Amino acid sequence: MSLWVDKYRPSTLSKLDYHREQGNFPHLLIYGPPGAGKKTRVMALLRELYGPGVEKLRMEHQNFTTPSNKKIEVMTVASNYHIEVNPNDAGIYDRIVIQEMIKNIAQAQQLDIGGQREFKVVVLTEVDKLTKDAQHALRRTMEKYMTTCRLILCANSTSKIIPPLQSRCLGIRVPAPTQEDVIKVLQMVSKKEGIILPDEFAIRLAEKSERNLRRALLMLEACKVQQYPLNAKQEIVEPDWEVYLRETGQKMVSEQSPKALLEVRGRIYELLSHCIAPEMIIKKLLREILKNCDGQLKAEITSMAAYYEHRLCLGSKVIFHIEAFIAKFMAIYKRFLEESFANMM
Amino acid sequence: MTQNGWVKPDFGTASTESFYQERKLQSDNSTKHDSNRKKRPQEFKKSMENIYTPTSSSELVVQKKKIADVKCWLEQAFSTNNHQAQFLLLTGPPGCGKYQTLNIICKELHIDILTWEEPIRHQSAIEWDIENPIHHTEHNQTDSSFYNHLEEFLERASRFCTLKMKDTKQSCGPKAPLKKILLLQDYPPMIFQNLERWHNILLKFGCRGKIPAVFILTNNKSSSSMQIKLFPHDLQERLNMSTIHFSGLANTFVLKALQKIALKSQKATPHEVIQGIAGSCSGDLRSALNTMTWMNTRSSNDEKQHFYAKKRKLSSQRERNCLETAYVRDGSMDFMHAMGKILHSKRLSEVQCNTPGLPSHLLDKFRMPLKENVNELTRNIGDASHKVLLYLHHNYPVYFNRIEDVSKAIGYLSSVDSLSNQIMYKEVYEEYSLLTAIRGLMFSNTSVNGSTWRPLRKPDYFAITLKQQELRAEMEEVIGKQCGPSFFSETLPFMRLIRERLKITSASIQVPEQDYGHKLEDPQLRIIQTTILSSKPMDFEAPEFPVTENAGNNSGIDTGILIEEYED
Repeated sequence: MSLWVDKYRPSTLSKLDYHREQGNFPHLLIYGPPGAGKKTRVMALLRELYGPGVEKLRMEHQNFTTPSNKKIEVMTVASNYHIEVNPNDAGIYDRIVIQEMIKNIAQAQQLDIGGQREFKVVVLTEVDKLTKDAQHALRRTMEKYMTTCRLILCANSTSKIIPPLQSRCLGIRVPAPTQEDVIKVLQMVSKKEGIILPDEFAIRLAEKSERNLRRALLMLEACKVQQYPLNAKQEIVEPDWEVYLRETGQKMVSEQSPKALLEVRGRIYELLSHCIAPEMIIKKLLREILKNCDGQLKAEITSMAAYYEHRLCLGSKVIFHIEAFIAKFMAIYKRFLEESFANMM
Repeated sequence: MTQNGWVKPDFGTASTESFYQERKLQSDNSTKHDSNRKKRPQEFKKSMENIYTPTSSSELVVQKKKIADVKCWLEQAFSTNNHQAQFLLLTGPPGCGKYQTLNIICKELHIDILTWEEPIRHQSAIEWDIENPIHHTEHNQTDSSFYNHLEEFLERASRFCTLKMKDTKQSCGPKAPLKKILLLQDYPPMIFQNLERWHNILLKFGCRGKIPAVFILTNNKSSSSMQIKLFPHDLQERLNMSTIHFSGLANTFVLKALQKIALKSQKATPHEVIQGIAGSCSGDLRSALNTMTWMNTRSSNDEKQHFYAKKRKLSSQRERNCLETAYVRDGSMDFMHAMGKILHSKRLSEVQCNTPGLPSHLLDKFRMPLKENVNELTRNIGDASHKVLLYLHHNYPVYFNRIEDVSKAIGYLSSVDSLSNQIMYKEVYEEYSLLTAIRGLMFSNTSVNGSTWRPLRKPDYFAITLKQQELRAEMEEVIGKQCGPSFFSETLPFMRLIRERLKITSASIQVPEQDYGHKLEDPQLRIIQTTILSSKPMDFEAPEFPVTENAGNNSGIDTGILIEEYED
């Protein structure tokens, strides 16, 4: 049984449920928040271009050798016409991976001349996490192989992509679906699945999903699995790690001491070991602890969070920065408590 | 001929003539496989290390258990009539008595030691080979000859030995002094060029050779990878190799040994000096002995001055410093020791010199002077800054009392991490970052906790990254495509929720598998489908979060699942 998210993923451009605009084909830079449908659009576009052949996917492990003779293995998903890579897998050697791979693809020709297309497509995901070095390399590579290959870059935001790269691509923003969009899709899916979705529940789901369609569909399916005749007041299932993180936030508010910090660190490690993105951890933690803060503190703590999230991008050891944020919060919050206590006296 | 000038005056009385004669004798009677070690004692005849080499196993300073282990192995190796060669690997830090132990036990058991000597030695010491020039040119070849040399040695040794042994068995009986073991203790860097060949040589010898072989590997903490490279686990298993690890000598052991020797040598070495040497040698008896020899020769030269100083009881700071610099061993400080010094930073209780007072708005930044010289401390930590940082980070909160201090300290660490993560000028930044971290931690701790015992723990960082990689690889395999961050934070948790229920229902309904197939639109999903259906449903379940208090239990569950998969 496949997930509804994947089952009802539109496969052609005309089937898209919202944002029906389409782009012609220079290099593309597709950006938008998670769960807005970037990938779906890319796949639909490719299908439009090359027909159903793009769906014959195969997995490949490609090996690259760095100048210092270190071997990197990167996994790619490819069809005859396109290849999809997440260059982040290569860590700081992403520059080499990008250059080598695009060169290989651009130079290789189809054996069957009938199957030869004008160009191939390279889909790079998570471009905003590329190092500056790799982005600059990408700029040169893009121009060099313009005739034989097109790039589609996917990113969450353009702010971390260098301007020269942005100007070489046609930027397509894929905004998150509006709540109405989400509700519409939810209803459509439930109709196809033959289940009854109360309107109120759909609205609640859409609210809870934070305009992330993937999340909304997953939640719907999880709820349905949990209790079928869907009730308007039914509890909406959340990912377990979010519950866990919320508990962590409450711990931070309830006790501020080095010992408490150690405990919280253990929990953060637990989350990290489940591959939860560190940015997400900071964001969700912030949201949780802000509930307990006064107006002025809110600003202070938020700026702290922003500062350490930035540090997170600069550094390499994630835990240092998350912990720094937590400790700073604890210190600020403790000071606040002491002050307010003194005032009460 | 160039004479090693420093040997003679320092270590006294060995006259040049006798020195040469000995050498000649050596080179006359020695085959090229002769023991390297045998020569050395004569060269450095007068150095303390060798005068006072113990003569019986009771004199050894090594732990009794280790001695018994080695003895037991040797006895067992010769008692069994096994036709497979026996192997023993002795490891330990330098100067902890690996060779001495083996040597003495062998002497007591009447076993000869055949040492393999790396061929390059012959090149450097031309005069030794002068009588045999062909010999010399033979070794003046490429690296591959090195392996040949080793192989040849092993083969010859075993063949030669077997012949002899047959003889002795017939004539002299089992207690003949002709038992032999092979000893390898030099591993020239060339060996790493072709490790496979090295392993093959060992394996071959393991099949054919009939005499036991002992390998001595000196390893410090930093070069433990050598052991893994030279003797990987599977090789050790195939060779049936036993390992005995010597640890560095405890300070009290060294102290006792030094005192004994000081008594023997009839040279008055002040007690505090001996203590100082023992304290600073970090378990290396050889270096301790050498230091003591040197101290003695020096003090005999300017005995007067020393005596004078002692008589006047001028135990001034300067005198002590002078002594300290004399016997303190140069090199990296013990890692744990350094960590302790940083985390448990000590400050002077009163200011000695008058410093201008800080302006009022900076008063909270005032600290007493540190006892340690931080720059020196930083320089003496021999390990990679990356590792030091992780250890510091993992252990610092225990040493802090106030959360305010902690927040400052971790702020420094965070800066350090972003500072050290540079591609250009990495070394420079690393040094700066380490210094910043250490100073930051020391500065921000305003109230050092009392002296309760706090174990230094290994950072979880490594375990966590390993887990991440495993989870990622596992998911990639199951899903068949790369998983972005959104997959782990959104899809996976829900997937687990959904599947858990489905498993029960689908099992009860028992829908034929192919029914799903045609409904699928996304081809990527078909991959998932097949993998899930073909593999056990258990495999797919993501590890659950412990929403309850104890986070520790979870790791057990995780590994349990993983192990299950490896078995497949």
